[in-house]
Amino acid sequence: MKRLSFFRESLAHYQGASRARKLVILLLSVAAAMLVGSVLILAVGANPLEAYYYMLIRPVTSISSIGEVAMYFTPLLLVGIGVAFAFHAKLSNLGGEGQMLFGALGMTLVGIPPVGEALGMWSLPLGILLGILMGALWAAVAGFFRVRFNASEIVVTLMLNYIAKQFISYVVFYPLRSGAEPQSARIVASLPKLYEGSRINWGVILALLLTVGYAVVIRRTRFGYHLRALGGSRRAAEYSGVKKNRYYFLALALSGALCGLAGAVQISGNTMRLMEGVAGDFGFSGIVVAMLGSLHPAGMVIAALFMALLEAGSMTMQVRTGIPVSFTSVLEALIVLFILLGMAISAAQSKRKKVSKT
Amino acid sequence: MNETSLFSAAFLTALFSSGVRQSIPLIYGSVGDTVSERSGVMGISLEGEMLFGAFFAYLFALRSGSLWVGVLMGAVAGMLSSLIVAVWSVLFRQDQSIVGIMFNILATGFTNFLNRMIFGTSNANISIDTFQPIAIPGLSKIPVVGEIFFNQDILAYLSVVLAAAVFFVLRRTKLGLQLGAVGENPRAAQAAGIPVYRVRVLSYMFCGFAAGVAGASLTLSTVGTFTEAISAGRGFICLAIVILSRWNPLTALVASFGFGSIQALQIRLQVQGSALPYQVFVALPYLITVLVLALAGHNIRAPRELGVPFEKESR
Repeated sequence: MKRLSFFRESLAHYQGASRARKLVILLLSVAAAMLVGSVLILAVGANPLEAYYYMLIRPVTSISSIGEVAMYFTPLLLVGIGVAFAFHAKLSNLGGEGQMLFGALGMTLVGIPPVGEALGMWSLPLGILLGILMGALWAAVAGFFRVRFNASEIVVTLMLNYIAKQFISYVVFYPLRSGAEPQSARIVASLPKLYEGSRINWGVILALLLTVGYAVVIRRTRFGYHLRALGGSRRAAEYSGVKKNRYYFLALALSGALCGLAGAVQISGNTMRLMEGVAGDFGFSGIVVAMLGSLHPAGMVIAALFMALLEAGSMTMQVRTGIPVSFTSVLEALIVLFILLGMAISAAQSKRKKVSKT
Repeated sequence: MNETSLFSAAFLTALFSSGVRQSIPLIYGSVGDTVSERSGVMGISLEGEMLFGAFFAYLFALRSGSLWVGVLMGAVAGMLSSLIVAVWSVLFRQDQSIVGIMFNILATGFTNFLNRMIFGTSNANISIDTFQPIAIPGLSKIPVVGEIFFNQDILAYLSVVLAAAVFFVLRRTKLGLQLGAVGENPRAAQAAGIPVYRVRVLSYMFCGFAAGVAGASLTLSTVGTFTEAISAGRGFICLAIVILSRWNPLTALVASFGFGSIQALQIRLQVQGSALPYQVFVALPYLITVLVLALAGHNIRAPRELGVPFEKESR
């Protein structure tokens, strides 16, 4: 029998903690990460305030730059809620990247000529649906391995990323190649824009609607309830009749479906073509969104917004201050590490209190 | 190219000789991970520790002019960085997969950051002279085999020594027994007076040390310079090797050679062209891993408490 890990315990404790306490941990984590980041910036002789201005404030000063933020916000939020579904069931989906790539492939297959031309505007919704399906299927491979062979979904999802990457590389180099560059043809129908003069499109609305859907599923449905029960205590959930295997499989497939959607949106709302690296680092930064948002729907929206600002602003920061873009990765990782630290300390404190009371 | 040249002795000798070179970082990484996994800590963060090792090995080798200073500093960098993972996942008992992934993001960002700040934005980093092959007298004269195995650089020979030493320690010593006990049943180990946390932290630091050498071998043994994200997923391949070799360092040696050879074959096919797209060969190690997990999954027994944090105070 495996004991409940302290991580789950502290996560459970953390989710049960008062809003004020959660907020304190989050804000302190962000502040601590930014402080460590400042030290790093000072060490290379640049001005931290200037760097943070370019990362957090500058991106929202014009309509077109807000559009750029949206390009990051949508996939971050979608992958974030995707991995959150898996986290609820105590599963780690580290394969967001591969699932996004297959989602992107699904959109491309339906979107490019000749299929795209034949379908016209219908290629957009059908492409999105196929993207969702392919993302879900790719994650279902890991789900199947977990359920059937008890293989760690952590290792399998990681491995599947590399296989997906090579598969997409093959696809854009050979069968779908169009022109000199290794990339597909342009898709016929793209996601409509929300506002002219900016790249912001309906992907944002889609992501926000799905976040509401996530909240409803997790909080108001039997499925969500059972998922959380499994995450809380596997044995207790199984005793009360939750079919563990079915839920593990479904949780991973659902997680992959959302990542697949993120990939489809990446094609139809951003790049318009399938190419290598189209999934970026969203598979991993989506995990940061889920952690920073503490799996809470509104929390993840704010977290995705914050991270989208960082990523959209980092290019300007690099040009203006000479601080490399990679600084944002350091900041993101530090934030989550500090949150984990805060959770552990907070859980240990309340435990001590409980012990001293009895 | 025609079939005869693909299977000629000269081609195969060159291929497997390059396969051995490609397997050096895999050997160090997988042997290190074997030790930490035996004690119950998964090396998801191997990839990041390799990057730390690769960067600092290159930096110090360049500045000091000594490859050995480079290797040492790479190993130290890998070890010190692994301390972050050890503190978070062993002492604070946080989820190893999340801590590991976050650490990898941190390592990628941090080494890119330092690389840009120290060496500027030009991609053409200064190259340094790498370790040279040392022909072992007598053995290197054996046809084919000599060229493949006994004409390699010092890091290759040391990797075999390390694997053998770890095998011996794990199988034949009290330390190895304690390590296994901590990974299999930490509660019983604690009852027997074994300091569970200390064993886990130290074995994870050993893993970081080995990963640092693995990174150093990337920059100082083959490439001669640091490029961003140079580890390119090798840390994850090491995890696969450890599973395939069933937590046995000597089997890991053989598995690493297999994966290294696939890597060497892929590089050659990319240059020469072949009927199969090269992506098939790049994906092969990962595909094999997933398949083995499925087909042999029931026979593979991981350390029982692998990935499960241990709580000291519990009954």
